[in-house]
Amino acid sequence: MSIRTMHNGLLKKEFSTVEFARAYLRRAEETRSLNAYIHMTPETALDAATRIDRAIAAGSPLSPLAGIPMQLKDNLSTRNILTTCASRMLGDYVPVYDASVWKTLQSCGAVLLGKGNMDEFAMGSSSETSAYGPVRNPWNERHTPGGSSGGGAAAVAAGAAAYALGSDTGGSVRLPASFCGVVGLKPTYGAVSRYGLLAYASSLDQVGPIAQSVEDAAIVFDEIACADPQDSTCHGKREGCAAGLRHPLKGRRIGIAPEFFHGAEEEIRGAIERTLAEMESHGAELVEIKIPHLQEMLSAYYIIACAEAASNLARYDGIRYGQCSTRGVTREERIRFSRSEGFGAEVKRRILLGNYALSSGYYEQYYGNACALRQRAKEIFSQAFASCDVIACPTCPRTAPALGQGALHPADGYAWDICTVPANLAGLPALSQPCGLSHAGLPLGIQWLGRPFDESTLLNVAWHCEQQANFQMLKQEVSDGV
Amino acid sequence: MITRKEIQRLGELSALEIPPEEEEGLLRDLASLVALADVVAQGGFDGEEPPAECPCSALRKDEVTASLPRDDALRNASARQGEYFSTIPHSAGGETA
Repeated sequence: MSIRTMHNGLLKKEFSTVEFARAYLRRAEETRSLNAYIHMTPETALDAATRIDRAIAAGSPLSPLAGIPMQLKDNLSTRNILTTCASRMLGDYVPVYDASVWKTLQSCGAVLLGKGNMDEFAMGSSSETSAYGPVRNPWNERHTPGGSSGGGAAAVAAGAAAYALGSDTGGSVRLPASFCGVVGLKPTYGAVSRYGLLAYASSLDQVGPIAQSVEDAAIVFDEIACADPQDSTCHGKREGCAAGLRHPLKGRRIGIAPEFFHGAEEEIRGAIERTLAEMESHGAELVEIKIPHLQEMLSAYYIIACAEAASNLARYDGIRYGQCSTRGVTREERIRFSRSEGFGAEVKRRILLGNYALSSGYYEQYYGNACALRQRAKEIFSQAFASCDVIACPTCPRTAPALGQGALHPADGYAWDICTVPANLAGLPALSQPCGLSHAGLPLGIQWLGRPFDESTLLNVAWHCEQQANFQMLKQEVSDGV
Repeated sequence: MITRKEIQRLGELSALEIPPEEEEGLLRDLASLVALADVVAQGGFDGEEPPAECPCSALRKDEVTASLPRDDALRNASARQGEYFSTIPHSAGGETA
């Protein structure tokens, strides 16, 4: 059911908000094997639902998100609600303030079902590094849902949340959206406030929606994309996006860079080619473009992300908040033991790599070069957008791997991100949506990249793509056949 | 090539214990990640100028506003002493200060 249908149903009193919230809480319970939630918040949900029912009875004006049950990734601060970042380090951390996006959603009347499972500190592409166990893909529970916002994508795909908010540092909203057959939007850097998002890599992090459809993603984005004095990098957005979804496709230029397709599985390449041919037949113009240095962008991304992570995670000392060890007789030892006991293996690896890249003798070679490449990436995309309105490419070169594969060789897992990290490096908006199913019955994803702060065009093209790919019908046929 | 000595130095810089039994696995993992990072290090981008502009263009007015209440700031502390965070001393010794 779309957000618009739910909203209309609530206004017409076809069902109450409380009934609706209870139905979603039940569904979350039924799909517990997915491990999509770290903890549920039924009291918060039912309190909010009761308030919305009163507002409906009083005839008060409502946001389209009023009464809609949703999930927040567990790295978004929620006042008086446990926020663990899927880490033992923050196992009993209760924030004393709300993230700005959560404050905005509360003012819209959002119904919080619970906090979403994720990779620890958002570091991972498979949602397996969580201290609370791996998330499972609803299409096949032996497979990963992708990460790091795997809990959000799995919950939305399974109908255990109408939408979710995730964070995307190098593909963490889009990759799980692709693996789980839902829509994931990473807004332009600076479109949505990061205040209250537990920082991984501050110059790359961005909060974005995971939803059942492009229209749902646009509705959520329209509500959360507003300027925030608490985040000096946040400008908000320029215009409402949901209203422009049906703008004609005719004349839209879609850039295709062959570099993005190197190494992509044949099924993914085929599904995207069919989708683009369909869009061309409906009036879009396909333009070949060049995006060189993708491998270097992946490399630069990991240097910058790990360097910023090493700096951001230096604050976890077990004194002001977080896990505190009982070992160690000096303050330095106590801090070292606290961090060693609190952080998982992947987080430690990235902190060590980040400090390696920042350390004396290596700084210019790694961090300096990575920052220079980041500037080059912005120029490459700026030149590409001179001849096209959006760029189409795979979200990931492969379909969802079986659980456990990413952990075997960390560098192999990092390579899953090669198509998603360029948008973060260059600060561009990007969206993943389903465009077919593999022979194994797993979703295939197409990704769109847009000009900075032009989410409107991005969502308009994605909406047309959705009409043609007709993934919802395919999904229904698969469900009926089971 | 990362060495065992370097792993221990990184552990100190990162305030992380690296037990001897974990050294071998970390050496292997970090070597593969450094190889990934080397793609940029050898890419010849050092002639490129990083951007000079600051991304912070929405600075709020420099005005005094209410800060986090002390009790809230202390709420997640592992130990507190009155109005302060409590921790063991900087130098050796087990007393709280």
